Amino acid sequence: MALRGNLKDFSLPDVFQLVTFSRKSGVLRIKRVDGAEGSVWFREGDVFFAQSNWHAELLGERLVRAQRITAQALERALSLRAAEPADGRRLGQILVSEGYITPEVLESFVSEQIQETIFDLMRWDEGDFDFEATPQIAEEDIGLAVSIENVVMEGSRRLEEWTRIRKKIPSMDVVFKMATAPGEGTFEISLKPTEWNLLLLVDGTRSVAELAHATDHTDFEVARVLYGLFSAGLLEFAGDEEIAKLRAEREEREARAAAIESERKSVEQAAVESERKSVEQAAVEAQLREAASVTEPPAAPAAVAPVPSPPSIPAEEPRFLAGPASAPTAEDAAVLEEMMGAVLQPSTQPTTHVREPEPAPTVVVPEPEPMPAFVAESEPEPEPEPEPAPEFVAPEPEPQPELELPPAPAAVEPAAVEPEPLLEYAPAEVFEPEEIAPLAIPEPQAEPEPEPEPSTYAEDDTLAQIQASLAGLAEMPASAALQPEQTAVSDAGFERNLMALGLGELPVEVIVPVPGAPEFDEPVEPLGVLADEPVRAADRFAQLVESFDLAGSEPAARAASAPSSAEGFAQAAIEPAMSDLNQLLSSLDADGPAPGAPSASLYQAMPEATFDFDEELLREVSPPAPVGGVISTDSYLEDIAGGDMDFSGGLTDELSALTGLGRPTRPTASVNKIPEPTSATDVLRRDARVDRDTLLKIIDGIKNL
Amino acid sequence: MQSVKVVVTGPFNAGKTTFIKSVSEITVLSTERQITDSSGEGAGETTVAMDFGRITVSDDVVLYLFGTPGQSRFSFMWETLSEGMLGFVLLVDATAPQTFEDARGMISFFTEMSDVPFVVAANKVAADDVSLLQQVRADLGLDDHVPLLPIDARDRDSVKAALLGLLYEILESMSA
Repeated sequence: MALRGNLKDFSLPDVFQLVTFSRKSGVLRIKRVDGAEGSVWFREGDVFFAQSNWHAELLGERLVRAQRITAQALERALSLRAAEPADGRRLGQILVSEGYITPEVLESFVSEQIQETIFDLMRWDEGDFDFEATPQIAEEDIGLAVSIENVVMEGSRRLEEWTRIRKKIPSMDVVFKMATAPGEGTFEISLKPTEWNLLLLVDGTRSVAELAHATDHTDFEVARVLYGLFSAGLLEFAGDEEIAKLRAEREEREARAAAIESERKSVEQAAVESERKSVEQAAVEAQLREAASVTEPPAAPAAVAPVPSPPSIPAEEPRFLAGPASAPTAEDAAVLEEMMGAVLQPSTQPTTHVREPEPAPTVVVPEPEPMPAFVAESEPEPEPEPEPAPEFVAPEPEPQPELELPPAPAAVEPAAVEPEPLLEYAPAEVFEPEEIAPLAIPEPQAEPEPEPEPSTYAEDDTLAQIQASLAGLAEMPASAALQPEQTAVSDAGFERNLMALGLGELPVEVIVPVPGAPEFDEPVEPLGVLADEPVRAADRFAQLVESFDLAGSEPAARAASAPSSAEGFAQAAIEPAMSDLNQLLSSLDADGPAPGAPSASLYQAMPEATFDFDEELLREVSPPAPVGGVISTDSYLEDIAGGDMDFSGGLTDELSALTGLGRPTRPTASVNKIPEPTSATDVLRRDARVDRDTLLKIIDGIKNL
Repeated sequence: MQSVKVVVTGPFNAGKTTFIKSVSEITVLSTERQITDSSGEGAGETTVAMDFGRITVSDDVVLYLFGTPGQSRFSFMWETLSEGMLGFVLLVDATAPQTFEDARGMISFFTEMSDVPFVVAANKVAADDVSLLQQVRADLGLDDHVPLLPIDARDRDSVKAALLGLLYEILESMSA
């Protein structure tokens, strides 16, 4: 049976449908008058092969273009194919059998080739077709089965699109050029790589077909991209005269480029030839020297290795190895630390300094391990000239467990010893409970008994002894008192920088509580310390003793561990205060309770922190938490102020610096409440040193980031 | 070397640390702590003290960026951090309208406390999402003259644009 006709009468999809429905096997051949031919092979209604000589891309070329095989592999496979008989293996089978590609890759590419061929054939408007039914066509059958329905559907879509494209690109011989005046809308066009690659080749000389060949794409793909570019206004048609002129220029350019390339190759060839000659010359010289060495044995060692060694190339060093490492400088870190110190001033000073051995006669530096306080036998280096010990120095070495001072680190210097203490605080340590804990007074739980063990001193005698020791301390010369630590002097230039930033304003207020404050760079009297006023230390210590009594501790017990020197007094005076501050700062570090939660929850949320206040006492003294959930500084101060307890002047200053107490409009620290704005007279102003030129410089710097 | 200061503030979890990290030439020094769900404000890390970044804009000028802690319980630091600043960037997470009330309070606090210009940077907003920007402006109660800039705090160029917006505001205030 033969099915013959013309595509003018029956479209190709109609013919495909007829063959498919009849489940026929055979070959459909289509021939146009211009010589273009195509054929489609069917097996029981399914297409298993198709080929065409119209804009066809052979299987081997497809594989090379897809970089599945190399051109050399294709050349070898084609040579093998030529050696095969006419009914021998086909190219795909040879590529598989030679191991260049797998059967799966071959099937994928053949399937794609079949579809592309059918798509091309469906674009034919005319041509005679002839279907020849053959029961077996083993030659072309590699086992593929392409559903003709899907191919027809996709072909129909492409055909519809092709019809639309043909309205603007009527022929594959059309030549485009770049638009001389693209429309405004073209400024925001974003191109895909394929489109950009094609646009680069549009120079007014290449036709659509030539562009398809140059880019290894099908006519349809190229025409579709050009259709989009043309519709967007990026392209326009080139006239015949313009095409001729541009093609002439292009040929001239290509000829010039070819000449340059030829010259380059000739130079390279000459260089290679020259090098080869030099090597040969060297070899000849080596042979001559070797021959000479045979006659003159002693000179033989000098004649070896005649081959010129290649010029030594210095080892390339990565740039990042040569350059300095980029990291935050110490000054950057210091600025942050200073700012932290300005905000959280009196917290971690004792933990940041390593105390140096001082000539102070009676200072006892505790060992890192827990030890009974002020036991003279445990001193690592006994003082050569011990100070006359006060009469209440514990004579017995037995430690009092509940009175045992925590293992104070080596940096137990009070904050006040530092001339400018706020400049030395490490911000990260402010929030570290483990850093705070060693300085805190033992927790209430550490004292299971309400009554401590009987001390060797009567309770009523303690204050008298303290008074006596303080009297002795008052008579001490100022030189015997603690001196400001000389090693912790911060960089003056950096401090000025801080002042310029406005970061030093708060600390100065705190450090200089009295009028006539020293200048920023001058030594400042240490915070709450007794550089030259031992009496103040005595008063402070007495107040601290009272405050401990209020906190539930036993004064006598405290007195048993009292220091025996001026520095000891100072240390004892500062440590409880620092404990309070550390507790306060711990409340800042801990996660705050949910709004409305009682303040006790905050206390319970910090198991690592130590407190020197009895928990029950804190609950009783603290007023009911406001609805807003005031959690930290304000409520804490209210607790303190509500009782009979009072801090010494230095400690109050520190708390004021931390919380803003005493300022006309200090910010509050409530959960839900935003701080009240300051009054009009306290409006902060911009850094007055920044002028317009500086600002323009900053803007340029930001732009060039 | 002259140092100038710009403050980056905003509600909790608005992206201030990320903002500074995007443009800082040094590793941003932050003091952050893990937060838990018990705080009721989210999870992850939050800045309990401040962020600190540096931009060397020229041989003789360094711009420091200070990020304030977002949680209002650390608001006592705001005033200290703000002293001497050129201006401030108020950063809000445009996708978290529940934080807008805090942002309004911060705007009120900083504008009444200082006389420096400021811009509002809306994080997580596409540049062409005009409707969302209008909604953010309305929710924050911003005047028309206050710049509202859509940014992506992770994007360096976006953060640069916000800083430049602030600097131009400062420049304009100098000219006025």
